[in-house]
Amino acid sequence: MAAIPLTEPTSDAELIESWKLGDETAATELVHRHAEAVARYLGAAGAGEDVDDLVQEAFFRAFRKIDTFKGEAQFRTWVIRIASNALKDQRRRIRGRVVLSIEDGGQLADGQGRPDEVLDARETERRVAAGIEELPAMQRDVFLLRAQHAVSYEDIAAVLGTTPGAARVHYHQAVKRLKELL
Amino acid sequence: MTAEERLEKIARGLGDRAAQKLDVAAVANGVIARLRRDEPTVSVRWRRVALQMAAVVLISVAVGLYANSQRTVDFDFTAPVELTELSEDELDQVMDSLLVDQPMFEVAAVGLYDLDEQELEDLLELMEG
Repeated sequence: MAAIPLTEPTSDAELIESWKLGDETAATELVHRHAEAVARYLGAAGAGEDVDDLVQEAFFRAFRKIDTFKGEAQFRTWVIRIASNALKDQRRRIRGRVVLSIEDGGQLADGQGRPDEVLDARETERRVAAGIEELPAMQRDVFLLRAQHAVSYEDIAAVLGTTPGAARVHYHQAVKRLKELL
Repeated sequence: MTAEERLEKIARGLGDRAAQKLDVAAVANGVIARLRRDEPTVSVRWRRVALQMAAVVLISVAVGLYANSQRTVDFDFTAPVELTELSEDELDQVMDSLLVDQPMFEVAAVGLYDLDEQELEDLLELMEG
């Protein structure tokens, strides 16, 4: 028989309510829970070396306007949306900057396999990474939320201000474009 | 593995390094420090509330003025009038004067749920230009 924890872990909703009352440890816990997921999104979206700053900015903005979060989607998904906007703001300020980080090649090309296979895999990742960065913002966000975090179309629609049907279409359009890079 | 599954796998891999490199504790400390610096003073908070209330009042006044400008009232309001003292014709006049002419728009409501995938794609292409 599995051990039953003495206390149930605090839910995101409870932490959010605590933060609204000024509890900084609740905010800290939320960052610890979701920062890596936000970083994963930003890394794939081409944030490059600015990931840490953008993660911090995303959570700062989220906590500042926590009253606008109505629980329409997961808190993590909502913060990723805010991170996407922060990335867009940053790109508007720094136009023309190449943000693709070749180091963010990920786990696939990790040296396993023949050298030519490894090189091929790395090249494919690089092309796909560049392709993701070039997607229209909505397609990119829908694709990454779905592919990286398995967010439902309903939740995606709620945070991106669209409908589940349109989100589905955006996803398929993104896949159609990226497939050509494989 | 389908092409879609392969793309999803690549997407999950992309950003893994960013996630692994992230100093979560430093990010959390940075967030809290910024929130503390950014904490508005009581007077700023009240100013914000006051501005919001002023905006509501202004909008209400503007709407009221607009609605009033659309009315054509024939009889004299200078003397207070009890509605029970008015004749039927005068009551009709009062009711007519309260009606505001506004354009009525007929909206053909079409939800995106009504469209099939091809129609959605066509619509998105139109919107994206």
